[in-house]
Amino acid sequence: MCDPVSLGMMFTALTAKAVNTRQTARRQDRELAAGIRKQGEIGKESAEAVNAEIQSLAESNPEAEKAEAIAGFMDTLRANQDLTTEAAGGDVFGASDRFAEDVSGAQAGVSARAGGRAALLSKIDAPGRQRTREAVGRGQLASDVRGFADRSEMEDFMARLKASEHRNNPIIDIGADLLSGVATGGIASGKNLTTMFGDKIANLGFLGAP
Amino acid sequence: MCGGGNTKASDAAQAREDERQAEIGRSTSAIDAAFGNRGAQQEEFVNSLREFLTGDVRRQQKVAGRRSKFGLARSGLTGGSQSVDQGRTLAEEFTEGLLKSERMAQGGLADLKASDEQARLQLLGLAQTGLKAGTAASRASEAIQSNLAGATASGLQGDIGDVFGKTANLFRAQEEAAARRRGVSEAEVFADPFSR
Repeated sequence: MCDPVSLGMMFTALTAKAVNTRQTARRQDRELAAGIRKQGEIGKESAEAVNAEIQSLAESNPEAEKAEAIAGFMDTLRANQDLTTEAAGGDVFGASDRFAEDVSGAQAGVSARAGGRAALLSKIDAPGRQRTREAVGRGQLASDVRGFADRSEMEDFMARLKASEHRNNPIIDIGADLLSGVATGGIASGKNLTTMFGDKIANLGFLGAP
Repeated sequence: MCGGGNTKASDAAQAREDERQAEIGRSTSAIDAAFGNRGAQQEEFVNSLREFLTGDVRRQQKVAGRRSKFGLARSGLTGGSQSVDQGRTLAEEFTEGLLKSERMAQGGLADLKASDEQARLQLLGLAQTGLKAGTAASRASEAIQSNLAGATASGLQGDIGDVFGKTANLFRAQEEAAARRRGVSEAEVFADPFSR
């Protein structure tokens, strides 16, 4: 019952199919790996953007906002200096020197107090403005990260699509199926393929004498 | 037969995940450090707010004290029980004003800290979610953008207001009484110029 030709044909068919499938899996694997690497690159870009924002946050302080606020306050005070002076007591005709000194002292006191209050207000307002600036930066970062995530998702989709395009070589599969079919048919019908094709195969030198 | 075929992709995925986890660890530490250094900024803010508000209370106290002194003198009540009562009310309102200003300063500081904490959590969310899932990144992004308007620390919400409301009414009553007395006196003089 031993039919080396049928067995050989079946073995060849199975091997060809396995090799074909393995090569397809490798190609798919390579596509997926390339996709993952590309996603990794995008992930690095995203992490760099996050790190840059963290760095900016670590160095962030309210000094610029403070300077801007106090400049605005002082401009307003300067613009209304004449009215402030008048309110604190202007010139009175015929008044004593003591009165003039007191008025001058009051005006100086008002200016000093206004300057002090402006400095305090700038220190109070600046942290809020600083946080607004930082929130804008954070919003931009969130938008950027969403962009990176979209790119990463697209890369993942493309890698899967490319991987799915790699399929078994149909000619090898059909050939293997035919070979397997002939061998199975021979065994099922009880025909010994070695006896039938032995001479021809022996001439090819694969097997020993029939 | 092809069980080992996924080795390269799984290696790449593992390497990427390891790198991602390491990056998350680094970012988390950096974020915590960045926000941990904000104590001095917060301290300066609350001190300024406190000084601003208590300065206002002190200024109002000076004005109210002066009005009280003149009002009592005008009514001839200096040194009397009315003077004691008014002084007590004035002192009580002053301490109330101081407490109110401190409360406002602490409230401002709490708002500032809450704002920083919200920012820290948002950044942590961005750093940890990363590109893991597009939808998660989108959610984080939308949350940040919707919170943008509320991201500012409230700082100074209004001023301390009129601290000496009760004593102000007393001064007003004293001033009105003094004016009435002056009016009556002048009317008497007008009615009978030889009465004095």
